[in-house]
Amino acid sequence: MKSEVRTDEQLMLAFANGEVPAFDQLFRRYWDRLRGFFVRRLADRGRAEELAQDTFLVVFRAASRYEQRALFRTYLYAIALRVLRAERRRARLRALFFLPAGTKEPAGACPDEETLWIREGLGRLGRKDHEVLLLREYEQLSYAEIGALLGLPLNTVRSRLFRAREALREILVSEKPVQLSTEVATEEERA
Amino acid sequence: MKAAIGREMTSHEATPHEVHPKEVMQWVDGELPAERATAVASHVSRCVQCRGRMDDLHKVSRELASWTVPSAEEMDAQLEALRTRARESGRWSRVQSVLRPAYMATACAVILALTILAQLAPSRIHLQEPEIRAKLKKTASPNPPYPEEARRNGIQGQVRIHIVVARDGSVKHLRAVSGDPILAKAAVDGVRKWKFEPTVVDGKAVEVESEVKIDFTLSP
Repeated sequence: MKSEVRTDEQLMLAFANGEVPAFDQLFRRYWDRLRGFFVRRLADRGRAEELAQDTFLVVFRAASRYEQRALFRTYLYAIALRVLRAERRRARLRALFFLPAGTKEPAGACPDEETLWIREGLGRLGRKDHEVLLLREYEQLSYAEIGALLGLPLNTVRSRLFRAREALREILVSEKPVQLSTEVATEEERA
Repeated sequence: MKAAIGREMTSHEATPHEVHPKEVMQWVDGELPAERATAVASHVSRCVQCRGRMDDLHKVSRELASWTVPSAEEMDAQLEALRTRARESGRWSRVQSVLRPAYMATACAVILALTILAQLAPSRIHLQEPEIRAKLKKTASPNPPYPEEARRNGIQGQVRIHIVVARDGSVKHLRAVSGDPILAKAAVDGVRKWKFEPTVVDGKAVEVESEVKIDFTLSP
């Protein structure tokens, strides 16, 4: 028996009309991606998960006002960006009145050297270029979606993305630690 | 990998070229219109520099893709937690809707108006003892009888009684505030029978509350 797969937008409209299981499907489709969105942008992994939940909570509560003006994922990431900005504002405020909260580096997933390397490279990009690159590379959004989310013309998105990739390529080329020892040993074994 | 990523890309930009480096990036990203994408694809297949650029873009993307966030194992638990929060926030939002500024302002205005009305037309006023005693009807006995037990035991003193007089002048409520228990009982029993002239404020009879003192003194 062939089951029909509904688009994100169809599911969201169904949920807005009271079909609660449709929300569960959306949640399962996007939970990991949304979690990754916050984990790659925040230092505290637990907090990242809370914010991913907060984002879905907004989707849940605002469902009755949902209008299909854009892709659901654009809608979802627009909320996520607002939640993220609010969190950063709170963090700045905390830093102003209390002690700064530890490292600013994103928590990431694997604390291995390879990941640390990427995180450091990304951290050296300008904030604006950084966000455009993340949205493209990890959230896999189109230029038009990124432009809509960040309020930028397409040309600006393209320029920032190009600049970010150029900078990152330079960083990866000039500074990446290459594990030669294993390769050399293999060569020697072959010889 | 280090050498591969670094080659050619920068020297390319200074050279007059039919395809801009940004267009190669757009083509790799699938962001070019179909006809332009065909032209760029054709060019890249012939141009070593642009193929190098394309490879570099792929390599940068692969490097970035190595930063993975493992899938959440507890997705069902997260979904359940979200449902709980949604239910709780729903209740809270209902509370918040009641607490909305417009509603709060209306409630305050109503309370203020009722308070002013209550002040304008009081249902109960407070009088000092001489004032309330002045309203005591002549028929009422002002002094309760001295209790025999107290007299035998030489008990004397003052009893203070809080009293509420109804609109018709009868005693509605009273209780002893201080004094010897034997004297207090006698005082309360006596005062309960008192009758007062009704108190009128702005043409309307009101209740009166006051405190009266009854002295029990034995003759020497």
